[in-house]
Amino acid sequence: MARLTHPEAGTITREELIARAKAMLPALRERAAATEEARRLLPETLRDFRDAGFFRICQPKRFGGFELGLDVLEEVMIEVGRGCGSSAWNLAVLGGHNWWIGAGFPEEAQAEIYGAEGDSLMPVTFSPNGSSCRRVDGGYEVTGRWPFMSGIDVANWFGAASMVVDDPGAPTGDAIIFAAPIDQGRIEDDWFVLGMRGTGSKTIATEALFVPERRAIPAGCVEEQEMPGALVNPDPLYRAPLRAYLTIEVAGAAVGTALQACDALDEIMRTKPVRQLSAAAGDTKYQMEVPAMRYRLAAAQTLAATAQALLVDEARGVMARLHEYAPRGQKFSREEIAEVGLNVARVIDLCVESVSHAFADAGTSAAVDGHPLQRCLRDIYMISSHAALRMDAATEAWGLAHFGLTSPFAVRRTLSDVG
Amino acid sequence: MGNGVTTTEIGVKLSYDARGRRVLTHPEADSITKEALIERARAMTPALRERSARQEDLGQLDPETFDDFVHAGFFRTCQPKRFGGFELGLDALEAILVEIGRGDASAAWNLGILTGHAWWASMFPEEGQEDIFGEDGHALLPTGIFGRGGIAKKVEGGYLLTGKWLYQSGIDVANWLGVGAVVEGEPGPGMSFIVQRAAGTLIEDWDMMGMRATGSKSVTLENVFVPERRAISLAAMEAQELPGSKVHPNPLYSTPLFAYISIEVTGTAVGVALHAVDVLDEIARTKPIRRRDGGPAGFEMEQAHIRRRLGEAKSLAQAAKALLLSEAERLMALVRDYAPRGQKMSREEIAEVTLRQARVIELSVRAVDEVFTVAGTTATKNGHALERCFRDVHTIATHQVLRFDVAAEAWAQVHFGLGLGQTTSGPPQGG
Repeated sequence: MARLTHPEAGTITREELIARAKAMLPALRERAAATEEARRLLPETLRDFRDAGFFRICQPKRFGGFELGLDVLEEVMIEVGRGCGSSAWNLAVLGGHNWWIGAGFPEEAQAEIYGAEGDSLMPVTFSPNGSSCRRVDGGYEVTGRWPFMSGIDVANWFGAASMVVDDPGAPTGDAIIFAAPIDQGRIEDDWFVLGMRGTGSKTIATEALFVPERRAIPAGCVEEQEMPGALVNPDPLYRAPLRAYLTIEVAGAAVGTALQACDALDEIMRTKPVRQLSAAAGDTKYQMEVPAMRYRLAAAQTLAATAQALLVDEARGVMARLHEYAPRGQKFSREEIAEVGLNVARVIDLCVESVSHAFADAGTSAAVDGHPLQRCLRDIYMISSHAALRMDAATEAWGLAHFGLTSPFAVRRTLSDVG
Repeated sequence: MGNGVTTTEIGVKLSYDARGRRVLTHPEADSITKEALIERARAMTPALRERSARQEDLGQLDPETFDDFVHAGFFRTCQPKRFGGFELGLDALEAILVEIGRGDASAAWNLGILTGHAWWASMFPEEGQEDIFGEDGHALLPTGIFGRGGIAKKVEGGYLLTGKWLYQSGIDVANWLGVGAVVEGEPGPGMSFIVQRAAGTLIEDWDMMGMRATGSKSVTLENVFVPERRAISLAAMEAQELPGSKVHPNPLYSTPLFAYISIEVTGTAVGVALHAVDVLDEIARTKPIRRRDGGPAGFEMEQAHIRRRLGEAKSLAQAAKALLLSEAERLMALVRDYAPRGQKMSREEIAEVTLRQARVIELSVRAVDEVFTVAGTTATKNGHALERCFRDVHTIATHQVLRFDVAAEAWAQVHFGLGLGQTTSGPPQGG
């Protein structure tokens, strides 16, 4: 089978990728308002990400990727998120899911999806809700509607999950996760939301779409940590448990947003005059002279730094464990996966707290449409609403796993909560 | 050396190099790893926990724990290899402290201070270091580094020191003292000295809410002679130009004092937070809950609010730990980068290190408070591990270097170039 090799594969470094992301900061900030307005990733940002190779960070080397770790993706994400939260989110989902293709599918499907250039962009929803499929000759016939397909406007593939039903239409208890070319789905323009407006996380729908067997895997293999991709791509990265991977994948966008809010407050403090009751002419004082403002910046800055340290530590921890476990075929326990979720929920919570501090005393001018701090506030709360990132759900999922309990309620997180 | 530990047991080798200089070599100097030390620390947790109550009654580091630390080599973590140390980074020390603090906070604090200050001793002139590290490299000194506690009078060949220094953590097991003083008739921040501990008089004034076993009492000196080789200028310290950085090529010895001491002890608080999480975990598994419906009795872990607080506390403790260790590594990487080209850390960079450590403490306090909130009245009973964690972490948070409000203001002043960036309360009085 053909092998794709990116010219920078094997030579590109983490430091170089981070430097490229840092260099994009001014452009990303300049485009942030237009990105929101367009409610999708802008073509110029898409091009910048492509040129920088960002989508290939976790893509297998043999299919044109860099095959670097999730930690590298997150460090790049943090820098991109410092420029634009929505753009970072799209990078996570599209770049991150180039890992999913390599981890989830058999070889033939990988070759097909990565294509001749390794230039795949595939949003995926792992929730089968609102969809069903039936077995037909050579594959499945899939009907459904899947919301929240971040990055769908720029994608060339899409992925989704679907419940398998029998002929009378009764659930069989099985589910599949499949991939299909983007032109086989119908995009519904329904992304009108509080924040993260530029992610273009619209709905996609299919009616009786034929999906060949090679591009449909049983969802059970995800829970079992027995995904077909591990046989294709030997790097331990492709044995990462999906849920742990996905939870970390997007979190860099939140950390970047918190850092961005700190930068915005810093700028306000240096440039926004303080009204003075009896100032001599020319004796302008700025917000940085106000102790409460200084406290807020220090609070926001340290919380963002904590979130960054915790996220990078968590990503490195997962990578280290993958390298330790893979050779002996050890899988992650339910508790270990839940602990990743717990710590990432803490990352998000720290970011929310950080942005709240930055916003608290920044003044009404920072609440004006188009102000970066207003956008950061909407974006961070939007991110924190994500089912896989909510603290309350994460503490409960971890607590139950930790004590070996099950709950009568549907609080146990399933695949439907991620993606 | 006290408490029955002898040089022979440790096996430090005394030799002389080609230039006739004294060299002390610890038998593990070239083989010890950070991971091995962390493992040793982890293995001590049960013993440390068992000794906590009696150690608090004693009001100082437990003798057995002291011996354990000596044998494990912990006090030598940041000490120069040339003087019998391991010369590992502050990241190694903090990782050890986190584990020790998970067992006992006071023991961890003493370890942080005493190990940390063996590093301080290696900033002194070479001949002074030869005195201090002696023939076995066993140099433990609490400090009041800054010139607030005493007065030094310049005399032939040295100084005469008089004064009182507060908060001398670990003084009961120390063999040296590090103290600062202003020099009579001279302006400036003064000098810092290292004198024999036997020259000082201890004052039993450590009666505190928490951290009771750190033994951080006061010490006085009266007209004690200190030779010049054991004196350094605090102006040189502030200029990041201390003699030790020329004695030891490792960039560790070019770390600015203010950055170093901000991190030095904070692993203790993280350890306490992790300890509190362990305690609630244990309570959740073992404390029965009554059922009104007469069903089979269960345990606290079956209650959602207990699980939620435990998850909150655990993730806060993890966040504190991640920030602490990433900062310690960042500081070490920074000095490795700067030292070879003679670059000094800026005042803002130093203030940022301190600021983030204040956040480490604040997160640790939050973690303990989450646990304490749901642990029940039994956990407030004198002698309960959680009651001790609560007192300890809140006492740590009162330390003037580690208070968030102070650190925030100090950092922001420098960050915005306002004033001189001085803290609102000045440098610390002691460890």
